Amino acid sequence: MLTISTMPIRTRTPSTRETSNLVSHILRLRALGRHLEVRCIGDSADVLASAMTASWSRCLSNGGGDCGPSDALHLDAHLDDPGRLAHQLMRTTQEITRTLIAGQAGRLLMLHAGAVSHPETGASLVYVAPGGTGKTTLSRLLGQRFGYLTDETVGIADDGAIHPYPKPLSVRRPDAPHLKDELSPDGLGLLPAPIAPQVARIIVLDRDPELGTSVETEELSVMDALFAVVEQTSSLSWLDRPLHRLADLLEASGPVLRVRYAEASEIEDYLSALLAGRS
Amino acid sequence: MRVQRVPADDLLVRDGETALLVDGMAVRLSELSAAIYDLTEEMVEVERLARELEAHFGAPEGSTSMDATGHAVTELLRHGVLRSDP
Repeated sequence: MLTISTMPIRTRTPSTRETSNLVSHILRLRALGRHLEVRCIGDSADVLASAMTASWSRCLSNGGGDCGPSDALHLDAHLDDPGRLAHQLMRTTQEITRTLIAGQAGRLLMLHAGAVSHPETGASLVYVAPGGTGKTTLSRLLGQRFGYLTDETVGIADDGAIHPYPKPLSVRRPDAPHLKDELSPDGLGLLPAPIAPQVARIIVLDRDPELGTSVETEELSVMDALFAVVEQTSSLSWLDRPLHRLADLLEASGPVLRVRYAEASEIEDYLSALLAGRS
Repeated sequence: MRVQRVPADDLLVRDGETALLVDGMAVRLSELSAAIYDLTEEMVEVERLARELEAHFGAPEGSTSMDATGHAVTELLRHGVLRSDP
């Protein structure tokens, strides 16, 4: 039996600040092939929203009017104390990444990697590496010459198309290694992503501070490459025939190279030439 | 002891090598382990497995078929590729 409540629904008029929080402090992002709405809440929601608007400039979505797309993902970001802004920006970046990855599980092949793209051809270099091994530093350097796609997660469709995730670059503070600043790619002068980036080459980064100025490269067999890359995938088993999909990508863009280096500046020219050769 | 393979999310063979994705984890199989995986669609006694592997690969050097098979089975159990029915 259907029961319809006759109890009145209590309503109240929001204050100006609440109205502002509910309407003005929603950031609509388009990243990794998904729409995402971030609702900034808390006493300092305006501060958070303003900072995010600057740092997430490459991902801001213009369309949608008052409402975002019906399939948009949603996330709340809370800030009361403005002194915690940097911490909250870092945390929100991590939550956005997790939300987008979950939203594309079973659709995209997602690699823990940075990527840049030739501004004219869209041919893209994907550099796979665990956290803390130089993806952001390399993105910052290569992004001066090539379109910046991401410093964190590369989402790849089954035809090799990359869904860019040009998030703020997360740069660890030397005086507080647990804290990362979220720097706008626009503020750093990085080139924009081209319209249709495609995977052209995949490399595996192996940073070794003991190497000095020398750089070592090694071509990997498909199986060696697969096991080097598979640990840096997200939600792989959600895909249909996941190992085949990964191996097909590695073969199509191969051979995969393992690049051992100490400092990103030592491989900047080498990687630029590698990408130019595939463009 | 009887063992049976765990259903894999995917199995890939490239250039004679085999990779499995089991419970979200990728495992690289040796030729012997790949043969064990192939032979354990149904529950099978490890002794019988050892006899079949010896018939296929010949007797191992410096070991017995039972020891070599037991060692490989233990590794596959540890990685969640096989399950046992004691």
